[in-house]
Amino acid sequence: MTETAQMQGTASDFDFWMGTWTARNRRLRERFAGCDEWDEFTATIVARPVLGGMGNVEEFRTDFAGGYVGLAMRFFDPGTRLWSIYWADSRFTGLLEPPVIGGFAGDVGVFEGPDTFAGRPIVVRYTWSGVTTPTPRWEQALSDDDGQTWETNFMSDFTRVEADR
Amino acid sequence: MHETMQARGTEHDFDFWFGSWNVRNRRLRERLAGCAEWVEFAATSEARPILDGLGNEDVFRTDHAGGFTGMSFRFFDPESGLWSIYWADSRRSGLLDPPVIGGFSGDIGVFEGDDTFAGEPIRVRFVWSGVTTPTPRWEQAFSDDGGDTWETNWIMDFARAEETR
Repeated sequence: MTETAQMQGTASDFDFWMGTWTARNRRLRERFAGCDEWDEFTATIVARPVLGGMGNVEEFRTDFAGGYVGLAMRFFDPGTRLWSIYWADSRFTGLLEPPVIGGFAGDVGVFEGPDTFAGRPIVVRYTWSGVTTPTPRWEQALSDDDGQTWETNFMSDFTRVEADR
Repeated sequence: MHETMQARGTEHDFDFWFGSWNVRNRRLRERLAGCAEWVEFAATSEARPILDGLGNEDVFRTDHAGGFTGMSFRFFDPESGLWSIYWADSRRSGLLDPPVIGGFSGDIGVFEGDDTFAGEPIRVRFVWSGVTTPTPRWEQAFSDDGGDTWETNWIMDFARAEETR
């Protein structure tokens, strides 16, 4: 277990995130390939509470790569005080990938979980930062050596779309 | 492999379900215990497409048992032609239960998956019926003998609540 599992949260941890956002995305073109070429694109995000505030659902919509829609589902477990985060994607629907699990310490949130990449076991890590500022950031990193080294492959910088609230 | 895995569907299989419904619930008081006592209660359900039509979600709300909210997330896999259905619940938020997987044959839909009950492995089955009628039905059954025998423990009868659309 990593230290992320020790964090203790509340069902209000993602209150900052509810509403409509514009994302500036930077995505590593190839993963685990020593690539340093990044694609830049924009997306629009709408996040709303579900389950009486015990969770939230976010829709991520972009024209990039032919256009796709993603859906993040976050569920708070009051017993462990941890969040489980699932991601669904219109390009590969069906079974959900395993969730990442974790929480916040101050304005940084770290969420990790096992997955596979090209048939190999990897660890996925989401990192939220600046969540108490007007411009939060989300990053995704993957590790193929059980968390010893990480390659960040997706960064999103958010600004709020006030008019749409 | 069960015969449910042979059903091939389309992303429109749940189009009948979009909108608002009133729900008459009958729920077995105890599961896998030879119980014959059913609890009746009312709920509402509201369903809508997500992921540009490759999935859908519904919100189930009731005042029963202190009040709770449930959500179903359904994702269609165009390659397998099967749906994966996940249930989230405000009373035990956190990790999602394993999905049930399947599809429709005519106006009957059967979806099955592995889960546990009181620490023991079970099969879970959702059956949709009458989905081309104004009053669809959903049933849940558990099997603790690998699918040889089933105990239905929850029945929902739906009638459309047009005025709240």
